[in-house]
Amino acid sequence: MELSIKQVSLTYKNKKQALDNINLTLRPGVIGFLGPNGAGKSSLMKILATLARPTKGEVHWQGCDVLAKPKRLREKLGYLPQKFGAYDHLTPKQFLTYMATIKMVAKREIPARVAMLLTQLNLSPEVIERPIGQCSGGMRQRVGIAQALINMPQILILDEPSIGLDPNERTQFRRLLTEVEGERITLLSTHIVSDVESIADKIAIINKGKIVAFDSPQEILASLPPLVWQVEVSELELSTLQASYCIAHSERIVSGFRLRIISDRQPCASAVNVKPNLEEAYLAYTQDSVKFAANRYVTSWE
Amino acid sequence: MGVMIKLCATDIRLRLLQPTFVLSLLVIALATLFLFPTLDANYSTLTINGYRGVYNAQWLGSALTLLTVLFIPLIAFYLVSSGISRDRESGMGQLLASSPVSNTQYIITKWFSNLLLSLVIVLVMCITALGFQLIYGVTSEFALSHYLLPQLLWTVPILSVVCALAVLFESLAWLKTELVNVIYFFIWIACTVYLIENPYGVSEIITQMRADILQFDAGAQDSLQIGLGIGGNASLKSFIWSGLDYQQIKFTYSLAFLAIAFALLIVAIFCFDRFRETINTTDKKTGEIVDKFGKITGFIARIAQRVFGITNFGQLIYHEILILVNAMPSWWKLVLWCLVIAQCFAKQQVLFDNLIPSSWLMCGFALAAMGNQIRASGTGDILHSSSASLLRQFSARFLAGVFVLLLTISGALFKLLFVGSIEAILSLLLSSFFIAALAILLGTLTNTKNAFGVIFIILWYAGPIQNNASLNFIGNGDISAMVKFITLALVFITTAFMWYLYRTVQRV
Repeated sequence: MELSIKQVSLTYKNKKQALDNINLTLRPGVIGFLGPNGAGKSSLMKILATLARPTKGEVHWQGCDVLAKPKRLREKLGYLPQKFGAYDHLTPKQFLTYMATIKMVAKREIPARVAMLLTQLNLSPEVIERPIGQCSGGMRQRVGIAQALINMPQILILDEPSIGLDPNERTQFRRLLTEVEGERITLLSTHIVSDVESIADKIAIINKGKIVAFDSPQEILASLPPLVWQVEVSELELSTLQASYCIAHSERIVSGFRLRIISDRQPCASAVNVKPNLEEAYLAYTQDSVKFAANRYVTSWE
Repeated sequence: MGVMIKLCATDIRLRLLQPTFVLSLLVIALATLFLFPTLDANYSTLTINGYRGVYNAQWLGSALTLLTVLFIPLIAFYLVSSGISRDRESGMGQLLASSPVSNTQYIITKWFSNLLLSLVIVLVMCITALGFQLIYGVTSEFALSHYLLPQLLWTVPILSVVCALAVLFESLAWLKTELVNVIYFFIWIACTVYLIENPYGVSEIITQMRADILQFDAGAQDSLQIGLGIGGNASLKSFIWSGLDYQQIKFTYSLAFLAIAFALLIVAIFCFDRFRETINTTDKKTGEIVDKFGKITGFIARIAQRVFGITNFGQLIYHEILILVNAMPSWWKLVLWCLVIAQCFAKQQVLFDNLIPSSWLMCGFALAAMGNQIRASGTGDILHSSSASLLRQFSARFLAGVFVLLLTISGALFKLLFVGSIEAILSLLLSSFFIAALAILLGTLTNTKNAFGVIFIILWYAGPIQNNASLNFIGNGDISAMVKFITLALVFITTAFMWYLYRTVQRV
């Protein structure tokens, strides 16, 4: 099972380049696409979901050109768009049956599959008889995930799936993803590091339309040079450092503040080098103020 | 005041730049040209005592005013009455509601932007008529005042009422748009005669024109035809109209309309819910009735699910029917059930004259959403990334419309089957194809519910209700009368599908 993206670029009509020469080979597992807003994550997800065509490049699913034959991929695809729309007057059960019919799931399998997903997603009997329009944001998002899984997809694309979910729902959602994982390629785009930190087999960091890192979370951390510094400063020093450096974390302590700073050089004499976490690695790769990030555009990732 | 000007300017900019509004203006400009036929044309729009004026600025300006007073209230209402609902749907309303903008400021702003948009329509018509006069008319006099002054005196006061009415209807959040369209249509029908015949209204223009014709030809027979008159009039003559004598005109009419508009605005300010979330509350007794009908509906739905569920495509149609019907309120289902029961016991004449048109008028509320569901619900991405063919999805949606139409006249179908009137059943089947095709075409082309809502009600009134044979799409049981409608249905459905296909491919 392989999805390969070859030299994909996308330029919008207003000349804005959303994607710039993306090369990726994706295999089963959870792949998290991390990037700031406007980095090009959703554009890439749309191309992979056959909803947009790149201005340049190719996408191949099991060796078949997806741009020429999108149906090949669509048959195996489950997609949850960033803005998930549903028919608000249908109940979750009716909507899932409708989507199963649309996705050509064999008629005799539909009731069992709908029932299984409703249970798996903790959609209680009272909720499934209520119109979707009356469901909470979290419930609605679960219906969205269920519709993406209804055809047992080999490729599951989830574009910013945790938007609008509270911390509890977010945790539940992560657990759900690991439960339903199976033998499939799951692409999860987000700008929230904690969404992918614990569940992603690989993480692709995307910035300004380019892939700047693609590896397992451990490898991404291991490959990062010593860029993270810890320092304790007074309130006055804090504002000076804030103006010049990327502060990843600040914590109030008795003597002032304890900061974690991302910088190519030691920000002040008392700063000591510390091991980075994934959030800091993400910032190191995406912050313009960090020179390291600017030189990280690599053309091909396996 | 500054806030109101800013609100108004933003509102107008947003609505004026909408492609559907721009397209409507183009259609209106084109239609204006057809308001002034030649003497030997096979239709006429305004003749008085067997005369019409030669096409100079005076006649064109006055004639245009008579026609705009008659028709613009209808067109303008449907084109401009979305200011508040747009804010309601976009969520902008709640932002405004939590701001210091008062109800009075908000309602007056919406009314004023409605009025300005309506005036843009009138202005487009005046400029088109002026262009027509300069190119085809008898004089090349550039006198825009002959076009604008009568509009200012008669059309603007009426439009101020129309726009206030639009704001009032929109202030009542519980009043569904589709129902408003029907209510307003009947208000317009009821008022047209009054607008023309009221001695202080535009009839002053007719009186002055008639006086001039009698001076020119004392023996001219007293007659008046305003609106679309089909069929040529070989004896139609022309005369030179020297224009309105404004000294004879009484302004009480204009002031009365402005007062009515003001009164309507006050009511709207009091009725406006300030975008509060509505909680559905039904009293116990109504709730019980609705529950009982809900159980019957549920029972029929289960049977339908079994029948349609035989095939995968049937199951898809069933769910498309649910999408249409579930969106409708309980009272809609209740009224339709009553009509279906009444159909079982009515005579054929009553069926075709009253019950079927009534059921289909109600049905039109649901069908208006047909071509617009995907955009309105935001399901485009998940539907178009699925492997199902567009033709399959489109056909299921269209057939769902046909089945809903047939379901709402199931009592009539049962009755006609009972008396063995197979031809009438077939004609109704073809009618339902025509209506569903029209609904899906207009919804797909315009991406709104309003286009079908408006055109269907006009067609419904002009055809089945007025029993106009050429527009009666119900056919009164005569299958031969349905040939042109089924031909049109085929054209509509093909065009709609091609457009749907084009738009979906364009997205990618």
